Amino acid sequence: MIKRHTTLIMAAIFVSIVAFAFLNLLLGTVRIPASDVFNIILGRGCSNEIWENIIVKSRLPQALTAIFAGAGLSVAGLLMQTVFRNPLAGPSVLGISSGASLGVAFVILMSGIMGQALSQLGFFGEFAVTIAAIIGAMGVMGIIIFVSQKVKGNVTLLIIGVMIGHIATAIIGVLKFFSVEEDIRAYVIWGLGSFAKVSGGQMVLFCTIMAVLIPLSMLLIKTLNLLLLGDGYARNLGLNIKRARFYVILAAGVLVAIVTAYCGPISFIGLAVPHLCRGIFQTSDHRILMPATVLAGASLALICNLIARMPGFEGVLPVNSVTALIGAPVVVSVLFRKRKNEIGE
Amino acid sequence: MKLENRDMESTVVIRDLTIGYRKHWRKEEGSRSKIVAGNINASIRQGELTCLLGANGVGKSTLLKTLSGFLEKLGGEIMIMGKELGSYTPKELSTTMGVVLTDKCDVRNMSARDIIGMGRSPYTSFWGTLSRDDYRIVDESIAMIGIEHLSGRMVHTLSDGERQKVMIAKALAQQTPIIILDEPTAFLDFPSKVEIMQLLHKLTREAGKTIFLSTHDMELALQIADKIWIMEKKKGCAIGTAEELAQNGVLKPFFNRSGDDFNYEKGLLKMMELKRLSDAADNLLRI
Repeated sequence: MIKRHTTLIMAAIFVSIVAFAFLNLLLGTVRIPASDVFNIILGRGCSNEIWENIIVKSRLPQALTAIFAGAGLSVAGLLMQTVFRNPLAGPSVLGISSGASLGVAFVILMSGIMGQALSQLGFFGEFAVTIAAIIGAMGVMGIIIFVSQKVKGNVTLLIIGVMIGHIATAIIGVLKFFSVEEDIRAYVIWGLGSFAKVSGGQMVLFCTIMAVLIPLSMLLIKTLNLLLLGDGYARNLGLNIKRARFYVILAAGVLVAIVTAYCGPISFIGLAVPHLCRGIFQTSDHRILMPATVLAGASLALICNLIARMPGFEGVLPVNSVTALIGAPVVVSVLFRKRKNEIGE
Repeated sequence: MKLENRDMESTVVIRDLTIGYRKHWRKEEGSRSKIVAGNINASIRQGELTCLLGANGVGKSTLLKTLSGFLEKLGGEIMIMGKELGSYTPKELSTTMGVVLTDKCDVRNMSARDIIGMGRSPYTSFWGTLSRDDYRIVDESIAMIGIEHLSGRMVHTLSDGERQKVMIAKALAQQTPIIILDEPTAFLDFPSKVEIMQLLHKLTREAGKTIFLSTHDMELALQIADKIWIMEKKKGCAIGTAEELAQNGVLKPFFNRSGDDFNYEKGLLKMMELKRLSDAADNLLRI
């Protein structure tokens, strides 16, 4: 009975992804009729070459990026919340996204100091930003993993992560002080987050990496379920806690690093979606939660992207603001509903 | 502190065990570890309920943690089913020894049956999906503890006593010959304490489990346990049946704080009375 219920909701979320993806292709500043959008994505071509270009080169990559980024961040959030047994944990908590920001800040802001504005570097500049974000995120993740093997308590580890985040932010502040105004603006815009920055070959690379990483993190399902019971019980049931922590933080860290590198720091999706799924599916079982967060994360990212791109908002609303504006009420409403259920029981 | 020579039946044998904590951050100064208790020689026999008593801070938890492999021993040897504890792989250990801990596991949105099913994880496949056999074992464990009515409830809605039973059922589903429990009767009201202890006693008899637990409920332990270990800071660990310990006078200080014999007699009397009470409760439960 419950099983059928679960499959049904999953199917519904999947349908919503398809629907929102189509809306993402359909809506935008340039009006394109639905029939033409269909023809273009089915490869049948279209009379208007500009329309085809808009769909294939701009809206389609953006939708795909949103799907994979949303799914990846949500899974990362779920991994973090389970391994730290803390509902407030999310991709940004361990300082991994701050690490990415630090890397990007170095490249964008230092290049100005070196005498060449990054904005003049074109494609090479974009590539450098991506690499810098990955290096920064992985660096912080390396430290966190190292510490996670040394300290016992989860809370200690969490606090250390938050502290590393603060240090990164502080260094960024110092870098900003010494840089040129244009570069600071470039950095701020990167920090607003966007699914639109990934284009062409980079998009294919991003989606391929995510399409490999997300299923890989599914391999941790049994480990995560055991971690739910607490370290003592998990250990007694044969789980190597240190190794489990290593793999879970590694998986979450790599996901966050890649997404942040390509889309900038996207806040809130990673925190909100796992809560949303626990609320909807009424379970903590990762065999259900993992696929659920993947689907719900993709769907929510598409919705956010859609709102950020609504006619009139274009270029005004950054994705990051939308994710927070939508994410926060979602989390709050789920928490309220949960409370009511508990009283009911 | 004499070593029993019936190792054949003994599932756990401890020789010259020293327990305590290693200072992790300074490996080079290895000798700077905190010794909690030393020179423990004992054995726990199969099909018996063994209770560990002692004041707070005397090292009960440390001993329990060391025996269940959470903490490294500082010296001596621990033989589990004839094999040194240290040479067990985590996987082997998970099918040899089940634990029930004091820390509440605060899982939300999981049914009692799901939690008990987690006890099967050493046996399940990569994804942790339970087979029909696993479900059968889970249901048997539920039936043995008598918590069929709880199996569908969410764990976070259960009372402390109910949750304790669920975790014991988890340990049963784990199908380990040895079960170690850390203060399973703490936080419970008296009838629930009696119920849990009798349940554990039943498991030693009907399922042949070796059960070792720590508790502060001295009277209850003296009535129900097959063997009592009493840990004391200075005298170390005294082991025996309730009668043996009473005759040796080991129990005296526990009942006789003011130093007059009358209280000691009264304490034993009270104990006997409680024994009758718990027998009555037992009969009631059987009906």
